[in-house]
Amino acid sequence: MRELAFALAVLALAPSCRQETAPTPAPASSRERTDLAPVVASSIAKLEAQLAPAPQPPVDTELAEQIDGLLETLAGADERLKRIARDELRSLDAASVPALRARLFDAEASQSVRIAAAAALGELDHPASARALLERLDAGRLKKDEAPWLRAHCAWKLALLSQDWVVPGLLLCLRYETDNETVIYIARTLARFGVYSGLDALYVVSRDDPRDEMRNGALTALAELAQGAGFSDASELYQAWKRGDEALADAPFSPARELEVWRILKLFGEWQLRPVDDGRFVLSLEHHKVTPLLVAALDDENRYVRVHAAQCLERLAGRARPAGPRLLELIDEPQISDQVILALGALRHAPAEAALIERTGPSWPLEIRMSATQALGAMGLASSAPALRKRLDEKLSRDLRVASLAALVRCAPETLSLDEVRELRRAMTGGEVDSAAPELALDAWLEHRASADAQAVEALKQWRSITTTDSRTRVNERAAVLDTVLGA
Amino acid sequence: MNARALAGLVVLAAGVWALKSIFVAPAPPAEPVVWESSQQCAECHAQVFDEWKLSWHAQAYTDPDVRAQTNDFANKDCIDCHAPQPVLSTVLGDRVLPRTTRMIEGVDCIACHLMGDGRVAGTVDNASAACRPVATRDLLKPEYCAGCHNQHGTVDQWRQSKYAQPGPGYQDCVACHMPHRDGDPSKGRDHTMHGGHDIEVVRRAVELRVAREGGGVAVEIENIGAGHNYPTDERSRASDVFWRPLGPGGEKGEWRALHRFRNPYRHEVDLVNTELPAGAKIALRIDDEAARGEIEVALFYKLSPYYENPERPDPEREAQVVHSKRLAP
Repeated sequence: MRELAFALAVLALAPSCRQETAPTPAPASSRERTDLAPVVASSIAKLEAQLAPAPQPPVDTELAEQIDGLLETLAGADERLKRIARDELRSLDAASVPALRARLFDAEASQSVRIAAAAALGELDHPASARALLERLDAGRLKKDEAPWLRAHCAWKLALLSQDWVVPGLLLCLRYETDNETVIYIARTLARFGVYSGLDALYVVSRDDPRDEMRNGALTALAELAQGAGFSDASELYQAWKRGDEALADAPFSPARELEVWRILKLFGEWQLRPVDDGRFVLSLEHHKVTPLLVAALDDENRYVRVHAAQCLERLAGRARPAGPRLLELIDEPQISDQVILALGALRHAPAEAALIERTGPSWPLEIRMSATQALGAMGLASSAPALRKRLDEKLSRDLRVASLAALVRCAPETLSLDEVRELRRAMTGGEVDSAAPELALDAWLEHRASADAQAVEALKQWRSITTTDSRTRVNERAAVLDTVLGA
Repeated sequence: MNARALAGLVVLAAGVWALKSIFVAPAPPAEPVVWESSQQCAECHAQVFDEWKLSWHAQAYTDPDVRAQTNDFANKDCIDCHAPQPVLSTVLGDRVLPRTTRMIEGVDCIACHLMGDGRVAGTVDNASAACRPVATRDLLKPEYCAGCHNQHGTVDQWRQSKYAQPGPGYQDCVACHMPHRDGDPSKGRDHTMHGGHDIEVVRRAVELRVAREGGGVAVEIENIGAGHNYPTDERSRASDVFWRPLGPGGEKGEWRALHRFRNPYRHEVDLVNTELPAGAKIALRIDDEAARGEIEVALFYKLSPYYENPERPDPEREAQVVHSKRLAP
């Protein structure tokens, strides 16, 4: 039996003698969070308790008849009576809102009566009048608004109120508005509340509208908004807005507006992408005072709220700079790390550089390496160039190699060899990677080159004049232009 | 055989087994693969890969129409569904999230098959294969498609249809859009995933009937083959019924619009959804002097909804014919 005992002992020991494979360490990016909470829901509950809903003015039939009479007078020809009616309408209080709202939406009422109703609502600094004007403005989403001219009036009159909570709604209207006159007034009203996201739309109208008066109207608005904000011209204001300058920090941001923002953040958790898309659009164009709310939403228990809040911070870019430290703390949050990394790059949060460089390394998941490389490119720090150069000596996926070259163009364009530029050119036209990244990188490279090379100046001009929306055609034409600089 | 000999044999067998356990390692599990591209799948799954390359899933990011509409995806909101992270990186049925790598591969092998733990969802368990597949019945569920395709309600439409009811008539997304090759389950499923871009598939979805009735023309369109609305999913899609008079010498009159099947875009809030649910039919009438003679009635299908000149649409040039019927005087 000794043999049997020996055999059993051997059997018992056998498993421990096998060569064990070391367990794969969990990547840093899989650290679970324990601090998540219903941030959005509790913020909404808190603000809703704090802000009692604005009392709905009761409908007063007698008052409604009086208001109808005043509106009709305004629509008449007697200037003296019109003056009196105007004064009387100015003296009305919130109780008149239902009657004015009814006329504003009344498709049977005359143009002048409806405009007068909008004007009267603009004299009543009450949430209900702002709501009425905003709802009528929102009719821009309709395919067939029976009175498009009325939307411009509503946008204009909203600027007369102190109800800054209309800003998210105005931004959403801007997304869908097709009437350029209304676009101009929306941009002006947004600026009244310290939000200059309408400048892009004004530039488009000033360039593309076929009507002289509309182009001039947009140009006038650009000049006036710049002057009003203390800038010598609109482009300076535009740059300051994109950077999130302190000079533009002084803007109202009431608790009612915060509540609107939280309600949008709540939509981020919805399954349908429609409200999510609208919400991303609105919050990415909001004032930089929205940043602390988005940062707080990074701790929400809903993954989608966190992801989309990070996306909004990325799109706010320079205007969300204060979010940098918290984003850096969350760089390894397992479910949102790639979005957090992209946001850090867009914010150009320089203290994140070392962490981003580390995450371009081969021990990190590809998605993280890619995001980190893109983020370094977005930051454009020359100090990142050696690390990016080192990566190029390693075996990289095609995507990552092109992203590394593109990032290097942003960080140290002078260090790229012509062969590397040719590699980007091949990537742009070859169809093996997304053409957009090398195309943008080559635009930046040409711009750098143009600072010292007359031929590149001409090439850059030609390159940027090729704007066809068919990307295949465009990149091929641009490649031909680039070849004039690169040679054979 | 005595007890001693028997014990010896037992010891010998146990010893052999023990030595084998020590020195001969079992087939090791495959090394985890770093998934950089769906091209990696082609090595072992060439047929599936080739089918997928022909699919619209493979062109979700590169299709010129999509690129133009998204400004080359400068509108990042579109990336969520056109270059999604793996479906299984979120909870099945949840919405998908955007990725940053291998964008041009669109909705690729990795997007549908990579699991959260790095293994691959497949039809069999095989830890020693390169991709370490795990048999995953979830792959066949409509919830798998829902993350993207239910954004426009297609899976919900199916759930309301007779095809979603348990029983012999049950047919789900994969039954129609990923049928077994040659109808043979042993050959696996076709990954070409035909749908609305294939006019033959569209033709099988609907029937057009035309007859003279009560002094006019009765036109009936029935959704006989789609397990969801006709048309469905992408709001760019539209299907129009047009008719035109035909002269005695074969001269063709102008097309006249009779009906449009379409779900409007999100901002077209004053347009109604006129899609035709699964199994439903719609009866239309043409009561027009010009329809007394020979006429042609046609159902067209459009991948983008608007005609160049809405006042005088040219469906023959701008759309595809699904069905066409001629009706004698």
